[in-house]
Order: sequence, then structure tokens, then C-alpha cells
Amino acid sequence: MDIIDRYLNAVAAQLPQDQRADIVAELRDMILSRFEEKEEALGRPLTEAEQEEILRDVGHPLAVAARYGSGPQHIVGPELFPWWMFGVRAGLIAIVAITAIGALARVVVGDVEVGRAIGQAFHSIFQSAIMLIGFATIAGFIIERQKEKPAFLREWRVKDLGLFEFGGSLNAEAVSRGLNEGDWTLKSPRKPRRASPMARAVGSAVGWSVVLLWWIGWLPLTHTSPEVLGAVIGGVDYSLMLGDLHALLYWPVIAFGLARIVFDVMHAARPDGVRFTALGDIGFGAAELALFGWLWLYSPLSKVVFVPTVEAFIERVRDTVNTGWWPLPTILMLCVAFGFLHAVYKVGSGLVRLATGHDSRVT
Amino acid sequence: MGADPELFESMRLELRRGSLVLAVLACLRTERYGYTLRQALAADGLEMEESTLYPLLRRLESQGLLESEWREEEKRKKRFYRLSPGGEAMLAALTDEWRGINASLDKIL
Repeated sequence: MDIIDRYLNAVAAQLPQDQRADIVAELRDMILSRFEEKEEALGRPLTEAEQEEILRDVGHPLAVAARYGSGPQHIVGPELFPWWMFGVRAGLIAIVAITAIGALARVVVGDVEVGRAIGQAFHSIFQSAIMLIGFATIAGFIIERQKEKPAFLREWRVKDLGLFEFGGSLNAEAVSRGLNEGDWTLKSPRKPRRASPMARAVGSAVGWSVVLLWWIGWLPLTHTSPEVLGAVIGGVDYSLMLGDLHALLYWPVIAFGLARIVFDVMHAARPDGVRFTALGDIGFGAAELALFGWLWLYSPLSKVVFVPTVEAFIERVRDTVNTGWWPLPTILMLCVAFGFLHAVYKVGSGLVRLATGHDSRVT
Repeated sequence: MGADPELFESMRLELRRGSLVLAVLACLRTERYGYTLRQALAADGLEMEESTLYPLLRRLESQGLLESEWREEEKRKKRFYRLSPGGEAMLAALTDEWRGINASLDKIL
């Protein structure tokens, strides 16, 4: 096998079967013509090194074959890339937030030291980010190769653009500049701003998606699952307790999370629907009331958080403040109590908005 | 201050990319095979890499702008290309467009 055959075999292996023979025959003729031209100029046959130099000039087999491809020569093209970047940015923010909360929870319950929690959180963020970028790239690759591009690329409305406020805090331009020029200073000044209802809805939907994936064990965040996020503290086995809670709340949380995502998507589609949002807040607030009520009265957590009277509640808080030592049961008791009060406020403010049709948060 | 050579090269390539199709179509009013086409373009000052030219010829053929046939010449089979009737119409339309752009740019420059 001579040098041309070896080169053309490598090109042929990358070409579609039905065009292979035709393209290779044409390339062979072109290469032989180049050889003859050079031999004529030198007045002697070419050495193998000279032949190889001409082949290198023609191009690497992978590059040469790729030019004959009919599809796009990129994974995610310039039209889709901004969408890819937006999705990755929003997902990364959600991952960082969830991981930070998980790491903090582990430190608070004494499951892990601060240094170790930070190390594991970075590891988890890295793993999850790679997974997220992989999924986004596969999605981009598939969309890029569709005959009809998705409607969202063309048919957009100005009133829906609040969606794209989400993820704006991660400066993609600075990252690109950093990779390209090694300049990692953040030059773009950012003004604090309040997210639009649509941005909040999208943020909530993305956040709940990540939480749900973590809940069902599909996200390797913070090296924890709900069952193992606990330890034996003060003679109480929180691991066992959290395991029971996870088992008992498994389907209710999935149902709540899915309902929340569906609601957020609908909310993002009609961000001006004050009464619609109010109805949702009342429904979800009522579900949260039931959850915190159950946690307080009947759940496995009840034995550490329950106090029978308001006086007993105040007494327990007063003891904590006086001694300056915050035991975990008191922290959990306060969390459940504030969660309950927040749910009451949510339902109440939802009822007001439903009645008046006015939302002071929307200006 | 002179133009940044790297930036100039990238802009020069961008500028000439669009004109290559027009040049290839115009050159193929006379029947040629790939190698002689490349030489003809180079003789008129338009150097073009084979890895760009050959796939372009196939694309133009698949778009119905060129016709081709395999024939033996100089003891080797070669693929000869020429403008199809559709290619002639396209060449005429693109030539008008090119002259229009040229005239506009001449006024601006």
C-alpha cells in the first residue's frame, strides 16, 4: 500500500458510504496531479518525505473529509449558542445554590467539618456542572441537526423577555475573555435590580427541578442523599429520623415539586396574572401549612420539635438565648415554627391579592 | 499605525469568502476538472485550497448549479465540471448583485 492509498483510506473511513468511491477517486486525481506538477518542477521523482509534505498541504484526512459533510460542522452553532449559554448559566446558579445549602446543612447538623464540607461541595459542583454542560451540549447537538429549528428561536414576544433576566449574574463575557486573554477581572459593572415575576418563576422552576433530581437521587450534590444527611447528636439519631422522613415524604414531595414546576412554567407564560399567582400561592401555602403542621404534630421529627403550649415554646427559646447555646432541637423547632408562620403569611397575602387583584411586588 | 496583521488576515478571508462561489461559477463557463480549475483561479489571482474547492464543487453540483461527468484524460479518469443552465442563471444574477455592491462600495470608498 503506497502513501496515497494510506492517506485516502483514512479520508474514506470518514465519508458517507454512498459517496466514498466518487470523492476518493477525485481526490486521488487531484493528489496525483500535484505530485506530477512538483516532479516536473524538480525534474525527478519525489521522495516519500516530499510526497508527505504535499499530503500535509492538502489537509489532515479528518479535516478534508469533514468538508464534504452535509450537516453543520459544529456542535452548537452561533444561532443556538446564546440559548445554550443561558441554560448552562441558569443551571449552574441553581447547582451552586443547592450545593451551598446542602453543605451548610451538613455543617450545622455536625455531619462534617467546615473544610471538608467546602472541599466536597466544590467536588460536587464540578461533577454536576460537567453533567449539566454535557446534557446541554447533547440537547444543542440534536437541535442543531433538526431540519426545522424550534419555534422559540424565532417566535418570541418582548413581554416574555423577563425570562432572560435569570442567570444574568454569571458574567459569560468575562469568562470568555478570561479563557481567551487570561484576563479574569470583571469589568462589567452590575446594578442591583429586582427580578421580574417571570424571572422569579423561571428561577423557582429551575430550583425545584434541581431539588427534585436531588430528592430522587439523580444528582450527586454534596455527597448526600436526604437519608444520610444526619448524625447522632445529643442521643438523637437524626440519620434514622431523616431516613423515615424521606420515606414518608418521598411521593408527597415529588407531587408538590412537580405541581410547583408546572405552576411556575404557567406563571412564566403569563407573568401578569395576579389572581392566578395568588391562587397558586394559596394552594402551595396550604400544602406547606399541612407539611409544617404534620412535622410539628405527627412526623418522626415531632419528638424533638413539639412543645404543647406557647409558654413552653417561649420558655425553650428563652433558655437558649440565656445560655447562648443553640441545641439542634431548638433550631429545628424554630425552623418548623417559622415555616408554619411563613405559610400562614403566604396564604393570607394570597387571599388579599385574590380579592383585590393587585400585587405590590409587581411595579 | 498600520493594520493588525492577524485581524487583517481574518477580515480579508471573510471578505473574499463570499466572492469565491462567484469566481468558481464564472470560471466554469468553460468545462474544467478540479485541478485545472484551481490553476485557472490562481492565474487570475484567486488562490484556493483544494480542501475548500472540491467540496464546494460537489455542493454546487448538488444544488443544481453545475453538471459533471467522469472522462479519461492524460491516462487518468477525471471529473469535469461545467455550468448547468440553472448555474448560468445564478451566475448572471450574482454578477448583477456583485456589480451593484461594487458600485455602492466605490461611492463609499
